[in-house]
Amino acid sequence: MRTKLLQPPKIITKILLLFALAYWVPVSLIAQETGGTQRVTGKVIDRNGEALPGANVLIKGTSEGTITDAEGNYSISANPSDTLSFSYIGYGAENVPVNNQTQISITLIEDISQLEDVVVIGYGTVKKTDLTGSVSSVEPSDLYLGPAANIDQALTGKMAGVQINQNSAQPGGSVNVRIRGANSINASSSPLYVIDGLPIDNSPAITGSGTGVSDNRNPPNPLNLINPNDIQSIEVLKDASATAIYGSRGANGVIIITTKNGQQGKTNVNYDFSGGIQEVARKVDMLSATEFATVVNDIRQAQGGNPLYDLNEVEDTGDWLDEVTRRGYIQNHNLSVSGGNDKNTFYSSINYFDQQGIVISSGLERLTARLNARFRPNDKFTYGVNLTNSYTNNDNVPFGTGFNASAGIINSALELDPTLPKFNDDGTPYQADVVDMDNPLMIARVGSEEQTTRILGTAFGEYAIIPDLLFKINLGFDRVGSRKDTYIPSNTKVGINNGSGIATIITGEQSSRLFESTLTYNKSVSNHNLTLLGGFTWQNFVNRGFSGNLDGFTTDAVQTNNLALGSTENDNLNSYKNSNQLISYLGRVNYNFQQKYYLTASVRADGSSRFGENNKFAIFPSFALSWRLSEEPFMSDLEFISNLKLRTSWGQTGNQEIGNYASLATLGAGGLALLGNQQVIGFNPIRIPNPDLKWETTTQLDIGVDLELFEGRIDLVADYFVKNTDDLLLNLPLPKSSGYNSILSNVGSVENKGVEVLLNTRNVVGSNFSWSSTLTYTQISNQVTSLGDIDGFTQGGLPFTADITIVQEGSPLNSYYGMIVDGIWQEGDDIENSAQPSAQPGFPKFRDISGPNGEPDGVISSDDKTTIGSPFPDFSLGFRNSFSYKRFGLDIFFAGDFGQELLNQNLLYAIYPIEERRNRLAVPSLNRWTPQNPTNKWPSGVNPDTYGGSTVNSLSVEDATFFRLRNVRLNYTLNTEAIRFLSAVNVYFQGDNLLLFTDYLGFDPEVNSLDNRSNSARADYNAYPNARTYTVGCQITF
Amino acid sequence: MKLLNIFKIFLLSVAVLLFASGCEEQLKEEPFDQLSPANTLSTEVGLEALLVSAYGNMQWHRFSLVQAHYLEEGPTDLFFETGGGQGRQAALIQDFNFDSEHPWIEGVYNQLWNPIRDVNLFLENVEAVEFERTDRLVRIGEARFIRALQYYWLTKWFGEVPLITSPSDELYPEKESLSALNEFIATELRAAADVLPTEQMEYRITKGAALAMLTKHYLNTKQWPECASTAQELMDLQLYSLYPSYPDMFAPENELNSEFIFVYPQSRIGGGLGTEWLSLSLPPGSTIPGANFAAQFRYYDNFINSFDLDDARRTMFLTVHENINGETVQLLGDDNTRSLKFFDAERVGPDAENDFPVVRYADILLSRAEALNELNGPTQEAVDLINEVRVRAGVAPLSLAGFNQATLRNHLLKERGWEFYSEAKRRSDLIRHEIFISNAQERGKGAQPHQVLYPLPQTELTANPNLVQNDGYSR
Repeated sequence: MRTKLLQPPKIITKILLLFALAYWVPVSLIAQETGGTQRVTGKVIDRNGEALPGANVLIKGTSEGTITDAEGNYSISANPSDTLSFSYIGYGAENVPVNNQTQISITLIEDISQLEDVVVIGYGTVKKTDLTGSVSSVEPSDLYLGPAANIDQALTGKMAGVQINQNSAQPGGSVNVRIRGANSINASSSPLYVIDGLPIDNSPAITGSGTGVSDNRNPPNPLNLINPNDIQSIEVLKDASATAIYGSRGANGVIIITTKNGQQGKTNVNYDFSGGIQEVARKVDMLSATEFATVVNDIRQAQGGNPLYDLNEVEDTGDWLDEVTRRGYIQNHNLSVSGGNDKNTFYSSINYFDQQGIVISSGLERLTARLNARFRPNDKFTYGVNLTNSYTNNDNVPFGTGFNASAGIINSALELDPTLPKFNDDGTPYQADVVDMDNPLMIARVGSEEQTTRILGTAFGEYAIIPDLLFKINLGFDRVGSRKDTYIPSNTKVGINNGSGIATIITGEQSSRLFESTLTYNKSVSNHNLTLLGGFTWQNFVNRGFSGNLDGFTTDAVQTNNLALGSTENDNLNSYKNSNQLISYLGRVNYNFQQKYYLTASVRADGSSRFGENNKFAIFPSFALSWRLSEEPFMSDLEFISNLKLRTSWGQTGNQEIGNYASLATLGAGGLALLGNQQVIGFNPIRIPNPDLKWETTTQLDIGVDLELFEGRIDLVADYFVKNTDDLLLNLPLPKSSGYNSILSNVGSVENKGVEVLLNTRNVVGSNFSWSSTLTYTQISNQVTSLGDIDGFTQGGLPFTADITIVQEGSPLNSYYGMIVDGIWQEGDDIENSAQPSAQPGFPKFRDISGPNGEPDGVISSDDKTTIGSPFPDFSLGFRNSFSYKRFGLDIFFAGDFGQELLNQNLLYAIYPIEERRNRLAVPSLNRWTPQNPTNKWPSGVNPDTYGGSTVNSLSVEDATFFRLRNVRLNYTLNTEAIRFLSAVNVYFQGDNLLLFTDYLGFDPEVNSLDNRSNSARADYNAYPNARTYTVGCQITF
Repeated sequence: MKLLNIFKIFLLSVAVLLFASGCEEQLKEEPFDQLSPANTLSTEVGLEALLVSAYGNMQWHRFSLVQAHYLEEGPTDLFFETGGGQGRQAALIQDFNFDSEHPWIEGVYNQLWNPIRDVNLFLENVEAVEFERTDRLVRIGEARFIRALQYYWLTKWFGEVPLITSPSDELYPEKESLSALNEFIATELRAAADVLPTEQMEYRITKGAALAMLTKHYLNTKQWPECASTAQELMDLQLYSLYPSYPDMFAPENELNSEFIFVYPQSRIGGGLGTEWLSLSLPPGSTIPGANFAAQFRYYDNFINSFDLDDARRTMFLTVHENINGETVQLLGDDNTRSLKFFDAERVGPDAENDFPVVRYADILLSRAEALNELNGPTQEAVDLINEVRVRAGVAPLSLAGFNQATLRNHLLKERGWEFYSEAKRRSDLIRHEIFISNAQERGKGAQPHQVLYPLPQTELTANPNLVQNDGYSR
């Protein structure tokens, strides 16, 4: 078994050999004349004299190195001029010049300072002390993954400058990740993910939903396919100095994920298990049946009508929401085996994750397998593979933004008339005829499953042409294939209206290929340390898909499994294929003098197929300087300062995340005409071509300071940044008289500027008890600074609510746009001479802020709309405290966003019901204005269609500030000394989302029911309720 | 020495790298699933497909039809809408509180321009392509009709708009004068009528359709002699006649009939290609199966009560119904009568099959009658034309005696109300009779004289600085 694992797959060897021949032959000929290496051996021990197996021994400035064996011994070939760098996680690194020694043994000292940690950056690594850019680094062991389905969830609040919000609490639901703000209006603001050197396309393979199915607009998070347990480290590149090497994809920041590798020495077997239960964290307070009947009757009466309900016949039979929610379960098993010898190492794992969501008929199942291996046939050559294969099955329940018969399950559970029976006498769900909406239990019967497989692999070869010069080839392949099956049963409203069930199958596949070669040159001459990097990369992306739906099934039994049983009279077939390419050249210089003065410069030239023929190539440069004051002689008296570094960087990055073909004139599917008894599809022009179309450019200035005091007791990283994104890829609205809605153009600018602070303190460091705290603080102000010639435009739409937000100069991107409600008209107010002469007492009082001349004009009209809230928090906080006492550990983590607003569409519907027989939020209904309750807060609900004003207003746009006890974890490390075969056993209890402090009236203030991928408006509409999770887990190392 | 070597290695490596990348050809985009205009529009098949798109974009269904319908009938004395998500937007229209941000006004305006775009591109390319399978001249006629029809609606609702007749026209155009637009519509429809065939083929545009729209155009622009003569020209084709039964005429099984001259075809198959009129018209708790929206289309009691009780046209109203609980609910008396003109027992979801008549033969008869009355005062011919329509509906014919020009004009307006309710004609009729605003004011609405036109959508003004908002609208 073991030998099999260690044998490299032959094909990979061959491929690597091929590239080696193609690129190295000429180079290595020249390299012959250097040489003179010698073999150095030795042992690495700790202060107690214990051997440190798996310690890294590196030739400094190269990636050439080895690791120590089980006895702490190593052997490496090195030049006399080399310096060996010894490091071990949790220990301070040591550097020893080789000179003429052949025997170098070393004692490493446990170190709480992280200065010597190695940080992964784009196309290389760098010691933390030598960083010139702004990079946040996290190890998953710090994250306490618990029941997180994907790594994004676990990162929330842990890093300054990185804001992560969960759009949907659906199992595996999507998250919104923003690094230093939202930079773009139309292109994506999501960061680039790089997994083991392969930049991945993190967009979902399928975005559409089945016919008649109201799917969530935010598809599942593609990172669900990466097993979080496999991750060794996560680096988040934030400033331009760090991201410019990723050029036209770097503007939104880069998240580099490095997966685990084996360590030399004993084979480790790890088994992690966790099991959890989930419950609805917070219910939305809707009217009960009796409250609802009373409210509706009272409003009817106030409108001069007759009561609708006989209150004697209405009884409270429980909440609809209780019928569709349940206790959820999570289990996660992870088995990993890793190990190696001095030449070869491996890491392998399998993972099984299963979650039953808190809403019935929702869940996520995942299976992943991984094999990472490294081979060092000789001292000059290293090669390796990272390969993962994964499978997820998302069991979806409809809860999107459809309405009426197409309503999602939460929509129906919240809005369905609560006086209606829930079940027929035979126990089947009762379907009401009086409302055009399904019983939510029927919606749960809508079949919707999405199964995705992903193969993601990289293979690399590294060859030291001369000891200082490293040539590397990296090959990558990523393929995501998804298939979604949905089936609307014939006895749902949609099915009944349609006359039969409707089956849809959607497939989508994305594949990407990467070829990358880099040369790295490292040289230290006296006090000058230089690293040069040059490289070429090529990456290609292909997307394809096929979908079809049909109906006319005589039975619901086979669903999508035998479409031949349906009728092709009403079928639809679709397919698509598109691709894009990137060709790039990159280079970087890292230079420092005496590890005191640092200079980094990088450049990437990116050619992208996506852009206009006049603008295929772009250059993205960056420069950074830093100065370690703490190394200066004049600081040497201040011994308590172990590190003080000032950093500044400037650079440009790009954003090319628009669709393919956006610069071309093409014809596509046009109007569907009824000609005779035929439906005939025509072609029409898709867009006005823009041959000048180019990437967005983000210019970022960063000034930062790293301060470490008292040998790491206090560690502060603070940055101030200004990011200006110009040439925004904007769908510039065109007059409709052109026949087009817009033309994708480079127009306008957005600015994000802010401060981010990470403060780590080790408050108590003792042998029995220790306490450390981490505080992250992020403050970003976002502003649209220019829109070229246009005044602004509105965006965002939900059923019956359009133009939710505005994009205009001087306001945050997608600020909520509507009227300000200044209380409620009261009896006795001079309504007739007001700006709302037809208002009744109990109507909202809209503020007359403007007119056609910019002055209040005594009329409430669209001129009175203004920005009434920002979707961005004023600041975000994360606060974590970790305690350890003997074998116990306790970790408490709070996080929150402050000062942002959110449109609550459920609240909007409570104020403006679309039908009287629809249930509403209790607060605005029970506290509504009546002559007996002359409140100034909630309108009367009498003839709301005639309120006037705007429905998006300061009542329906709520303050979404929140502060959350995100998790608490208590763990205990068992004493396993007596048990031979066990190395370590750790058991833990964890609670997630335990407390939420907010005034927001919906399920959760973090959600977004609108598509977050394109930076459209944010709104909450029948979101999946958030869960509170309790987990028990254990980690066993054999 | 060493440094020099390193430099050489670097240079060489870079050269290798550059060599590896001699593939910038790859940066050329290949649209696999879209078509290139150059290849497509140089063939008959490609141009046919473009014209099909123009047809598809011209034909309204579901909400596209509803919102246009509502702009034309909602602010009148016939009907109104309450409830549902639409109720609020409908209230703004029927109460004359709309402004340039009203989504339906924007929706209607926007959907009118897509067929114009398709036709302009078609006409730009068609001259250079040989047609082998179809008659190119006929296709050009169809295209010009489709474009003229869009301008017909645009001028009716918005007055002056830009006149775009080529893909290379100004992107940010100014308004064209109304007289030029009207002239353009008339010229184009006449040109289409001259080349189009008389026989109906698969819902394609016919000569009759072009003459019918031309008649309506002359009627609404009060070009009475032209209106009368064009109507006569159409009648002389001897192709069209009144369908014997008024109620049956609208049934899906009879939709291809001698009276429907030009329709927007509807289909219950296809999901979204039918009319949803019925779903908006059924009262809550209706026993009629199928979609029943929360929004309610309700006819005013005054209008229902104005019918002769024997009028066959009144039979299509639901004035009282028995709901699913077996309770009898009186609708008439509560301004709550429902029009079931577009009833399809086999509709799929909200999609009903009933074709929406844009012009019926009855409209041609009444248009000629109106033109004759305006030209000459009451004449036997005019009364006979009206009586053809009345007799078919089973109501007593009129006699010429007792009518003067004004009373016959008033009667024509009433007759048109009874004949064409639910067919989106009332606003234009009221405006032509110059009582649109006063009628609304009499019904207690705060209508203003400038509201005979809708405002240009705010989005259009924002996108085009060269456009000026219609008079009277600040926003």
